Amino acid sequence: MSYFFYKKQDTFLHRLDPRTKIVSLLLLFTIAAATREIYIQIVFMLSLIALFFASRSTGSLRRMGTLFGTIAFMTFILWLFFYDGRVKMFSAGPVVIYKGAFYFSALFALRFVNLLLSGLLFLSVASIEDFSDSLVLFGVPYGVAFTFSLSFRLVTVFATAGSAIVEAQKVRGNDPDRGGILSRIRSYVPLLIPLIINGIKKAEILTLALESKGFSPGNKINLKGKYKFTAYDALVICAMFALSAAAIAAALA
Amino acid sequence: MKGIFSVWGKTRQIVLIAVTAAIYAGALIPFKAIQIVPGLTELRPASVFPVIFGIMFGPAAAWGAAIGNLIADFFGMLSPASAFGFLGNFLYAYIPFLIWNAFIKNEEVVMNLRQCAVFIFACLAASAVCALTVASGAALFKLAPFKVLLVIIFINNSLMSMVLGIILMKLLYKRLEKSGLFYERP
Repeated sequence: MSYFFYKKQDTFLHRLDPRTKIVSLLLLFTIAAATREIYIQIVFMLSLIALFFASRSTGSLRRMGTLFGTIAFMTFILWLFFYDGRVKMFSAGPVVIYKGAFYFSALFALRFVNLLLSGLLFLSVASIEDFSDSLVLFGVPYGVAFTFSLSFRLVTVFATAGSAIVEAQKVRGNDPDRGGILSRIRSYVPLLIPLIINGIKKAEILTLALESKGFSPGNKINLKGKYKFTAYDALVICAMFALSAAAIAAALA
Repeated sequence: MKGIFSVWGKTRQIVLIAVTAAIYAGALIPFKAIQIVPGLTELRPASVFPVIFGIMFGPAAAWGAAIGNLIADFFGMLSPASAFGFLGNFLYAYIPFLIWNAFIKNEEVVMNLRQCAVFIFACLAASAVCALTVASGAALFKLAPFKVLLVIIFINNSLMSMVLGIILMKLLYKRLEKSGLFYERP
């Protein structure tokens, strides 16, 4: 089972250079964060959803839809009560709702969801390899990019080991989902110890394996020819810069 | 401070960064959060890892906590706040390392009353700094009200690391010390 969202597909978005994907993600974040009009946030959300369809990544949307919906709802409720305006619209004891709270709560909830959707789109079209290679292409030392790549690959190993430990302990009658908060916290101890010991053993073995294969943090990796920055990449980046500049200009105006 | 960046020059430390990151991120998946207010307040058992790993493995664990938190965000929660999560979790592991080393010098770790007090102080200080960093980042983008997030993150991190951390330190410290992976100041 894969815990990540990336699926190998042959779409325009998947074919983009990894550097374009990272720069575009940052610019999508900028657009979502800078936009202060609800209708523009809605148009932005619909555009992002269209990109999910274009990249055949609607499975990611289905997987995260309920969670994003809950987050949007909670964000709306929180800002409704915590928005600090000037003119009181409603007050009952300590609860005060200011004028404009509904508008800003909806705006902030939409903004949060759009930021998450931008991130999810990136995760759906960029592989772990794309991410670690782009770090190298941006000039990050190979040792750092390698650590990211290794960590991503080990997560699945530890998550699977963790699931097995949880199931094994449940069979022995240690169910962390039962009892009060403190007893539930304590019941996690027998679950965490094997995971830690297993991890440290793996660190010792991995160090030996890497050193025996000549790995050194100072090594360089040659990615020449693996990725090609095409005219499409340039076009996408130009379009994203233009949209971000428009969003910032509108926000400043 | 020098040790923060020098860990990137050693294979053993790089592996330790990757393993601590993967354990932290990997534990977030199977070890379900204990919901207090669904969708708003929860306790994550994995919050104990940065603190105990920070004390044991030093700067490598701090980088591991930062990368582990970023990887956890790659399960669908990637946003600009992830950058603040990266910094917050780095400090969440690095501060206990600094506090522990300032108070506990060359003595056997048996988690006596004094060592437990230092550990609790380290947990509270680290949780407060982490909460402040992450809540500031989230508030900057108006993702959540600052006060709410500050309190939630502080309670989540401090409660879990204090309760689970003391037990795990008592059970694991000596055992893991033998692995020879503990951080030694250059």
